[in-house]
Amino acid sequence: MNRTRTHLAFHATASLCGGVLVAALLAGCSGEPAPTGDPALTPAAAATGDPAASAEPAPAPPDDTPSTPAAGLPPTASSTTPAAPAPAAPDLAEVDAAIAAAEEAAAAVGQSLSASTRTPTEGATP
Amino acid sequence: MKRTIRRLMPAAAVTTLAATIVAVPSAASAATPPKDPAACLKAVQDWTVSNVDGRLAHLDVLDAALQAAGSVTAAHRAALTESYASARTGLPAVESAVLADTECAEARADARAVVDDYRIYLVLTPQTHLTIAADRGIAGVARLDAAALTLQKAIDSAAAAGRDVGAAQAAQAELLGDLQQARAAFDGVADDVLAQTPAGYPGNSAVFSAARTEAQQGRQALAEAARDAKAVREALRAIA
Repeated sequence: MNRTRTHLAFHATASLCGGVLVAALLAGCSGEPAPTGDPALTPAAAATGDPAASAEPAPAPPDDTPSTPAAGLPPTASSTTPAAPAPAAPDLAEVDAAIAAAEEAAAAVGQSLSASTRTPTEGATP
Repeated sequence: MKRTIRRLMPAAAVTTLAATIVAVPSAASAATPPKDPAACLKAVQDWTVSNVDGRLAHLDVLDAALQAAGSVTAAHRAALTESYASARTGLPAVESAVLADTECAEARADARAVVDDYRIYLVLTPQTHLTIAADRGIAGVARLDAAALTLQKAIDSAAAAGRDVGAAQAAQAELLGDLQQARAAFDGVADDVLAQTPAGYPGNSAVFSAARTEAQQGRQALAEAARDAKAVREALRAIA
């Protein structure tokens, strides 16, 4: 009687262990994570058993390539960004207008100076 | 005899002084009044009407010049406008007084105000034109001041891009120097001439002469500054 119970217990344990082993082998061959019952857990979380491990992605390795800003966005400053390009040259059309205005002013000053000396004589009282 | 001479000498001196004062602006140009009292009175009254009319017409010319000058400061414009208004009111009043006179000597005394109290030609005219000249010059300097800032930015930009900006920077230095000269020459000219009064004539002629010289120097410096600015512009174009 004791031998029979011992034999049954042995078979039950062997079956359970075999099932676990088969499940482990299947998981390794398929590359799929072992089902944990929690779809939010990542392989890292599953591996560590810490759900927090899935909250932050692993930091990307340093990249010397300047990042390309999204279309329509200004480039962002970065310590890895090359030196800023030279400032854009100002529009010199305003300068041309100022030069013309100054030349007109100089001419007008000359005319006013001439006019200041072109005056009738006061004349003499009778 | 000696007492007589001593009594007569002061009287002669007074007579000479009076003749000098009456002969405005100079003894050589003073008109000789007719001996007939009525003719004398009419001559003085005709002279007054003619000269008041001429001065009022000249005031219109001055006013038009001031109106056309856009760069005159509000304070300077107000001062000149006030002088015009005073003359436009006062000169007809003098004319009315002379026309109401019945004695030639009295009319002559009143008529002198047409010249002495207003000095339309020898004070107000240079005041107007020299003020317009100086304020216009200062406005021109201000325009080039702003242009010089823009040009310096363009020079800096070209230098940052690795261009040779030596010629542009040298012309820029000339520009700044000439602008400084022009500014210094024009500065204060308008205030100096506007401070003059008819009563200050002929002593204030020297003020007008000096102001004219300064404005002329300012004009030359401003014109030179415009050429400098062109040179900077061309130098920048050459290295663009």
